[in-house]
Amino acid sequence: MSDLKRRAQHLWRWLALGAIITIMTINISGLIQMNAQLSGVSETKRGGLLWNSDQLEYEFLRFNKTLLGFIAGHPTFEESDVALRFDILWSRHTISERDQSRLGANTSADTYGEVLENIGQLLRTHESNISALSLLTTPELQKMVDEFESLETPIHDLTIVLKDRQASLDETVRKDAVQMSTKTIAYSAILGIGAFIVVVVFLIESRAQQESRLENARLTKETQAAYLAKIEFLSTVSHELRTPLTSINGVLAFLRQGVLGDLNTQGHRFVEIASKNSRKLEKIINDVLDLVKAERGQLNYAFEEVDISKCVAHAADANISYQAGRSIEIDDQLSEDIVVWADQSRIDQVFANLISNAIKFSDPRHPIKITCKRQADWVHVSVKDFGIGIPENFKNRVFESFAQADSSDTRSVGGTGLGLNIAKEIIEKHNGQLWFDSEMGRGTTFTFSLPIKHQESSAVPDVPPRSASLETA
Amino acid sequence: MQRFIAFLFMSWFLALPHGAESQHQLTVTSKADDGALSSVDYTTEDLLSMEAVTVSTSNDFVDAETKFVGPLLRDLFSSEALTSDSAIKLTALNDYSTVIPGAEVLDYDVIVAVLADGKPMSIRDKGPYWIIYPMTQNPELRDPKYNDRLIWQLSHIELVRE
Repeated sequence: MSDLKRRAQHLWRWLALGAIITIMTINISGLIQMNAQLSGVSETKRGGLLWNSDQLEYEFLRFNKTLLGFIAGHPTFEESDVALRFDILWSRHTISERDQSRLGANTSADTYGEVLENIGQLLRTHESNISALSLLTTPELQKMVDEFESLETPIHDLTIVLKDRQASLDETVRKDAVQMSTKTIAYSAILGIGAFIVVVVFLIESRAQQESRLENARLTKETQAAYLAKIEFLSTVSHELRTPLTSINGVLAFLRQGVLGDLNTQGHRFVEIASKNSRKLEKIINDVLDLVKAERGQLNYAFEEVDISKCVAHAADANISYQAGRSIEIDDQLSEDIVVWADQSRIDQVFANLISNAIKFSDPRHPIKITCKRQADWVHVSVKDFGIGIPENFKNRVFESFAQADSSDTRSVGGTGLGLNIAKEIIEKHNGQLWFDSEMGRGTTFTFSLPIKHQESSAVPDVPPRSASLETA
Repeated sequence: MQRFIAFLFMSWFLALPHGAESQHQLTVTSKADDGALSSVDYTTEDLLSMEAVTVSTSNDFVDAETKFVGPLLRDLFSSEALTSDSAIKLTALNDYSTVIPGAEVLDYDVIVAVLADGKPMSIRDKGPYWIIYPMTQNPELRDPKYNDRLIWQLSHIELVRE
């Protein structure tokens, strides 16, 4: 899948997610707002403004009725009844006065205040009369009735004003609720679409991932097949090359030994050159065969007790002839005989690889230096050269097979690039580690560690300590 | 002269507000198992002579915490008559009424307040009797639904068997 496509999918996913979160936030804040508005409807409940106003009107009418009944001499309405209704009306008036602040400042509040003031005035004026109704004259009583009756209409109007106000409040809340629910539906639809998009993106992604997984599996299989074919090819070619090489070597040996008659000086020189190149070729073929064996896990080892100091000395001797004119210095810092559990021939092979590398990539005027050092239960052996060093961009490929820093046709040194790969394989089979420190233009130090075999026990430590600065490159 | 007599009468009435208060009555009705209604009228003195409980509380209808004194509502009934299944119908002077569950009266110290801050309550100020729930002491009672049970100008209590 292309990078652009993946980015677009990411963007879509984040956009959808952002939309979902935003809409949910809007929805919740809208619901909270609606909740606050709905409390406005509660004015109609018991003890609310409208309720109290209704009660006031009711008590007002009831008082007037009782007063009229009393004046008419109706037996049901006694003087104490009038006083009782008067007191109840008074209490309702007090309660309604308390309500005034709920209205805020507007026209209905002004009307409300005015009517309440008039009722209050009336109640205070007639407070003394109520206590002594029987002492009042008929015209005085009539005047009182007239005054109270004159307020019936304003009180009723007031109730209507409050009912209108409540109705408009209810209407607003209802309208808001409808609007809010419409919005909620719309937002929910968008939420649904957002969720759908996210699901689709996930589906597409998972399908793409599945495809790429299948593709990867196919590629891995192909790579493995190609690799096996390569190993097979290498194995066949090496074997086919070695058979004729053996007979060439045999013939060259006969020539050198004079079995086929004496050679003149020039003949000897040519035979020497042929022998030398034949040995080189043999080594390359052996390296390739070792690689094939290592890859197949068929590299054989014959472990035995090996004295590391002797091993180093032997390696130096064996390799000094590799190229004439190069000296190998040995710095054996081991104070006692150190024995490792190793395959002598394989360790020799490692030395041969490291030393030949050191010689190949360094100035002929400088020596190669081999150092042996003990680090706790490990012996560290390093091969140091004062050569060109390993380029930074090649460092992580040093141990790969067929790896060469300069792989161009015009390179100055030969080799298959298999040596270090095989050396690493061998050292790791010995439970050791192989690593290097290198500085461009100053040289390279390859170091391998091997576990020391104690005489009393064959136990060896599992993890070798990695010393990064055994020898400064 | 008539005016003077009226003034005298008026002065006499005004000078005797407590006399007037004491005329208030609280009618408590309960129905026996056989269906017979029994009704008892309590005067302010009767109620004050019962074991008084003080509830200092605030509610939506007073400006500050007020000390209410009066008998427990449950004390107006026998323990056999009032159970948690009962319902109590409370009626005010303006004929407004509401029903409260017996369980609440048994669970909480609901009183028939006769005195507010040591003084009798006038009809003009929610008297003479006011059902008071101990709201300050019990936060769960500070709910609008309990506000509706604080019947003032209480005149009649009726025990209704469920």
